[in-house]
Amino acid sequence: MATLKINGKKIIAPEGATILEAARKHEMQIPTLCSNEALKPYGACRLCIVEVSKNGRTTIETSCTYPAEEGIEVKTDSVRVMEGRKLIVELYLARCPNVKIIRELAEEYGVKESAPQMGKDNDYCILCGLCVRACNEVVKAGAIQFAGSGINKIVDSPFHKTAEDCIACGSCAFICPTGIIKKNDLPATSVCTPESCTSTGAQREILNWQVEHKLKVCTKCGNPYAPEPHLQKITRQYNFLPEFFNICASCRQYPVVDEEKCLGCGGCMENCPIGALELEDRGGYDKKAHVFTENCTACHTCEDYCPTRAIS
Amino acid sequence: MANIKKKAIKKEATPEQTQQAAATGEWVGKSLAMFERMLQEVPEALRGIFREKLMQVLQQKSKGGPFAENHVMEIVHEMVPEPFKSNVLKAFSTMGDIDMNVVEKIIAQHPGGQETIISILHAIQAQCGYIPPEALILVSQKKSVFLSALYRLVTAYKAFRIAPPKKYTVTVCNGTGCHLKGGGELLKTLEQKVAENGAQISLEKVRCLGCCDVSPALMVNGELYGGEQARAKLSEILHA
Amino acid sequence: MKIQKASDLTKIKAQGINLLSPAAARITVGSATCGLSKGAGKVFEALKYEIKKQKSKAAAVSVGCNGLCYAEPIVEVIQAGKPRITYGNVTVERVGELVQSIKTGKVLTDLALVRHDEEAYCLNMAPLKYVKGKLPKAAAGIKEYRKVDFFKNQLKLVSKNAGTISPEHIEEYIALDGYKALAKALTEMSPKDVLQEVIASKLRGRGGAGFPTGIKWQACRQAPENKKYIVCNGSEGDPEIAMHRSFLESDPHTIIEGMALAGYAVGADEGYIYVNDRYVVALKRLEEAIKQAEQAGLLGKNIMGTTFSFALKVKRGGGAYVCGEETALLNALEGLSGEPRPRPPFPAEKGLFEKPTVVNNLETLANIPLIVLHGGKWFSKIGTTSSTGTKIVALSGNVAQSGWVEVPLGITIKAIIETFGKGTGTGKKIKAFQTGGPSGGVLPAAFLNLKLDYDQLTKAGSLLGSGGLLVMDEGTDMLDMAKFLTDFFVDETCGKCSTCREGVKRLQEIIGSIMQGYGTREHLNLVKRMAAAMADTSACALGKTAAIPFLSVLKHFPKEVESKLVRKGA
Repeated sequence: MATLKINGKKIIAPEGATILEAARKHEMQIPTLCSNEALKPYGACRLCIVEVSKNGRTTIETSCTYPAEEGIEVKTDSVRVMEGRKLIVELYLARCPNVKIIRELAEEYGVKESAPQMGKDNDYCILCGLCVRACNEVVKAGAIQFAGSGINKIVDSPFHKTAEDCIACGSCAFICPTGIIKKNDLPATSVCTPESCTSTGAQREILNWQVEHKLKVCTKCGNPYAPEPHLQKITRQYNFLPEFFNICASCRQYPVVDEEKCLGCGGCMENCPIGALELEDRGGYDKKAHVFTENCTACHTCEDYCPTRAIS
Repeated sequence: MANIKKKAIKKEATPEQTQQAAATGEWVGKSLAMFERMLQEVPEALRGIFREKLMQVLQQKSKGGPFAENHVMEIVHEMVPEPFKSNVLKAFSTMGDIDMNVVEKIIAQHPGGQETIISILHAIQAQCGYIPPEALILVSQKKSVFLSALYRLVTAYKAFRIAPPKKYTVTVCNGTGCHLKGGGELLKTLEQKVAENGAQISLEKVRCLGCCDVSPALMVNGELYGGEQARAKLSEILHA
Repeated sequence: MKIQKASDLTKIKAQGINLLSPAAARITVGSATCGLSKGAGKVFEALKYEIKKQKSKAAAVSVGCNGLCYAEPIVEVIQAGKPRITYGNVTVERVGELVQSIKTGKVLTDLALVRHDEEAYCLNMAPLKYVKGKLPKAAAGIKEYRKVDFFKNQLKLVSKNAGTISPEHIEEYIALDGYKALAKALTEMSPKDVLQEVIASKLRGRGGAGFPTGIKWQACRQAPENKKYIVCNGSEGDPEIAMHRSFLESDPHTIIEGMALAGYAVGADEGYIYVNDRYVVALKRLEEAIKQAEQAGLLGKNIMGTTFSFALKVKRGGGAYVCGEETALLNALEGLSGEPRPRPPFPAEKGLFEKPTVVNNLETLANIPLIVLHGGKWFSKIGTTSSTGTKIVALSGNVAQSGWVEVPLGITIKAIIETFGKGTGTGKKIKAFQTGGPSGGVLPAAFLNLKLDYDQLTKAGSLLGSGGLLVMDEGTDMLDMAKFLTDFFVDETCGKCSTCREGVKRLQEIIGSIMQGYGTREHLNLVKRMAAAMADTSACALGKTAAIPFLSVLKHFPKEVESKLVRKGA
């Protein structure tokens, strides 16, 4: 716990919090482009800069990385900070004049156009690194990374070829603030000639990484619902049965125990391949089956083993 | 001296004998070609003696089995002095397929995790002249590091190249000192000339070669040249 | 032999002295990269050949660089009882004569530069006497080194061994008091004592920021972790110097000893030396030196029979200037891309592999053995009160004599250029100079009386940095220099921070516009705004100082910029 001042207001920040986290907890706004709660702070966009005064010295720091230290005084909107942010926005606008989120930011800071003395590009990637960090830190697939460095830095798949490690989860497209990552879910198609018919199953493509993967089709409702490699990764990671993902989330039903019929024999518990069932004490010799739905894979094995059909 | 001479005359192995060994299928992959290329560095008069001696070493290394590419490679590393060693290695790297056994060996010589990667990349580039994609994939597998992370390293760090080098690599000093003393002009002229007739030349720029007295300085295939010598060497390779 | 106690050093010292000043003769060839680029390799081969041919008993030894780069190849002849003679610009054709001169006693006067009658290498050591008895007549015509500008105005403390010892013979290093500091520390001092000496010396980092080394060490020492690291920053990315290269090729043991002492003081048992990827010869010599130190029991477990263990590894860089920044360097050591890390936490608390780490510049570490041997107080009396000690300065650009020298801090820039560089050598006057690399911008000749001092140079808008001194004569196009230096930052930005990456790109465009005649006042105003934002919002010094080259040219040579601007109404 640390006590610090932000814009003159005394606040208490939890242990290990950054200035940004502390400020947001107290409903203070600091603009960011490259920060995300689920990811480690990177500090690329520099928009979140603030003035930090400590022991008589004042420096400009990125609030997403600077710790909320005891006794510091922070100014989130001083003249110096605003001047810096304005120029950052101008630089972004010069790089990405047609990106919606940049245009919105520019409007907020009263910037109509980037300075005419600056050159203009037409990029759509702001190199915030959110896609890379999501793929590496959360999904842990490592399919994409930054490539090159400096003014030629880009986000790319290895050798600019199909990202072999991509599981088509789409996290990159989801988290990208500019919308440049294109994820398309395509329905199954059939092309018929008088001689033969070729059909392609439903698939997901992520154009930027030249990736195409089949979408898994639910055996119950028949709808394609998630990319196969993504499901395979989770199956491996959590040691699910290979059939676990044959049923989509909407169709998946968890077992319900009818306690009047339950004998507490434990047959379901012993045969559950995951261990999602336990016998709960209800006093005396009375025991009832209890399902931990968070572990349950809806494989229906318990239903089959229950002698009294108490599970449905 | 006389004894050694006698010995040499008696047991000098001939190219025919090594070919015989080849015919019996004892040379695997490019190993025979590599062996012969290595021997090219020895003056003709002494080649027979060296052939005999190195064949013995090869027998030891292969322990009676077939002669593999990595056996020859080991001999080059352990026994061939500079500058011959570099010549031979460079020649090997343009011999076609990269021998993954050698890359595997390099990886095995650097135990540890991600912190060993840059040293491994330098060793691979010293071996092959560049970082072949297959080598990068192998490193990814053996070290359990994402291929994308390795691709980032070889594209972000200037020291690495991912395409085979051309016949001549001219590295021009682009340091401030050399720039002041005509280096800027030299670089511009070179860039033009290479664009015109430099199919065999790759031009690289580095900062400060540390020989400010002979600026503008440059290197050709790793050899340093300054002043007049630099101009002469450039003439030579541009008109080759 | 393995050194198991400090007194073992004395035996090796005697061996080393015999090598340095042998009963027969010793002929050395300066074989650092500067020498090799001018044919020293061929001279050395010729020397070995001639010695064999003439059946001479002289030893042919490859040594490092003594700073006289403008006179390479340097060959020195050391014969018992005679002065050590330094010959310059030696060609292969003259080598035979040189070898003969050992028998004939003749001196090649046209090649001779200086002679050494004796040398006071070390402060507490009796000077190594070359001449015993009367000075031979043939040598009398050559100037004694203490009378020559190049040597008499230097204070060779850190670089005392360079050019004299063979970097491949640890005995020669030990002969000149090598590893004596480590022995003293391990047997007579506690780690805290060593730290106190470094604090008392007021030594400041020799790489860029000039942070007090003792304070950095103290922070690391106080960090509550058992595992700590010492990292030597030998990346030397500035585009106008290669002093670290020379140093590592000439005297790698000084660095090894400095790092071991640092490890002892802060409680680290492992160190890494990060070397510029192009320094192939230096890397080899360093690795060889480490091997010899390990064999001698001066590195590794239980050094000199004490409980102190220290292991050293050499890591080659990937060729990125930004890896000279300490946190980017740590990333490189961990096998990651070279991008700076946010600070805090500082490396002294959380550095390499998240452990407390001291990252010191190579030259900073080279000062440590001296400080431990002679005391921090002694060191603090050299130089100025705020900039103590000496600095290795590499002279390049428009100077008659390029090379490097070691001078006490506080000497004026003018004195360095005149005494050692001997002026511009082009017949034109000095127009401007640069210290501290591209981040230091340029300063006009009017500032030549500035002292080589951290604070003075910073106040003048430049910085001391790594000690490069680039001289520009009146024929220099300052706008072209601004472009060249800005191009450097464009090449080297890592691209992480939006401000730096986009900023240097636009700066390059603006300078291009001005040079092509399209520049206006608005361009200049924009640069000023950009410079302020880059200085404030970039994560590291590269972004923070990227606009300085152009701004310094605009400030000190306004006409050269303004004359190119579009005239109003034109």
